[in-house]
Amino acid sequence: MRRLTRLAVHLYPAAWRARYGDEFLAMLEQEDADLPILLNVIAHGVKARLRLERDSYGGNTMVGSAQPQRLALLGLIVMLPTSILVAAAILKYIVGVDGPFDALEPALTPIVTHPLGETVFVLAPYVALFLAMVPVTRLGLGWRTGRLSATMEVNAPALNVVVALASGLLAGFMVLYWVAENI
Amino acid sequence: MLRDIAEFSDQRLGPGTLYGAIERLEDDGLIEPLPAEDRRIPYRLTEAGTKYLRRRVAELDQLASVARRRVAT
Repeated sequence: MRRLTRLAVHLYPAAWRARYGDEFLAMLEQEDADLPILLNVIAHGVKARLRLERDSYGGNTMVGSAQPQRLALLGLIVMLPTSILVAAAILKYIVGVDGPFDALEPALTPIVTHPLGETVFVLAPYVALFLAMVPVTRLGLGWRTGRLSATMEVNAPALNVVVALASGLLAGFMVLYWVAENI
Repeated sequence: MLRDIAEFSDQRLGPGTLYGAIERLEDDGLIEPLPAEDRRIPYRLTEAGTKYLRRRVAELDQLASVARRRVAT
């Protein structure tokens, strides 16, 4: 247990360990190593790391392992195939322009009819929404004087907003299409 | 420090909790570290920390006296 507790100290950010690490370890060595102490060190190590990462992005992010714009860009790439296919389908079945869909269909049909391909295709907008919004969203949940308090704060760059809106529209369209086809 | 806190408050504080508090108090300028004793670092109240603590103790005193009066009635 003592070894695990020492390992758990590595959950704290390097800057924190440089500042308090040695005295913290010295104090741990004087205490009885037990599960509550291990859990306490783990919880506060994770908290310190999240706080550091949040602060490094202006104090407004829930997670911050990468630049928010980079994750939004990744989201855009993830949902691009779905976007292209849906746009082509709209052009064909709503606008009446067959060309793009007919050109794509032979290549995409084997992919979207495969269970894995279909799953990726359907989930892509939600993954993109997640990638665009989670890094720029801060959630707060608390219980004070007998009342539940929940807050959500978003501080998003333009790219994240665009990807979030596009993925939301795409997901919404796909849900409506599914409802129209199945109900 | 953990044992000292446990003795006077009857609360067992976790080491992570304690150092979370130390970090905040130091960042707020309410405590400051003294020269290291072996690997241990003692902390003391700064002037601002002493003022803050006096104010908080006075507030708690007032709260406790109101509570005592209400419990007595």
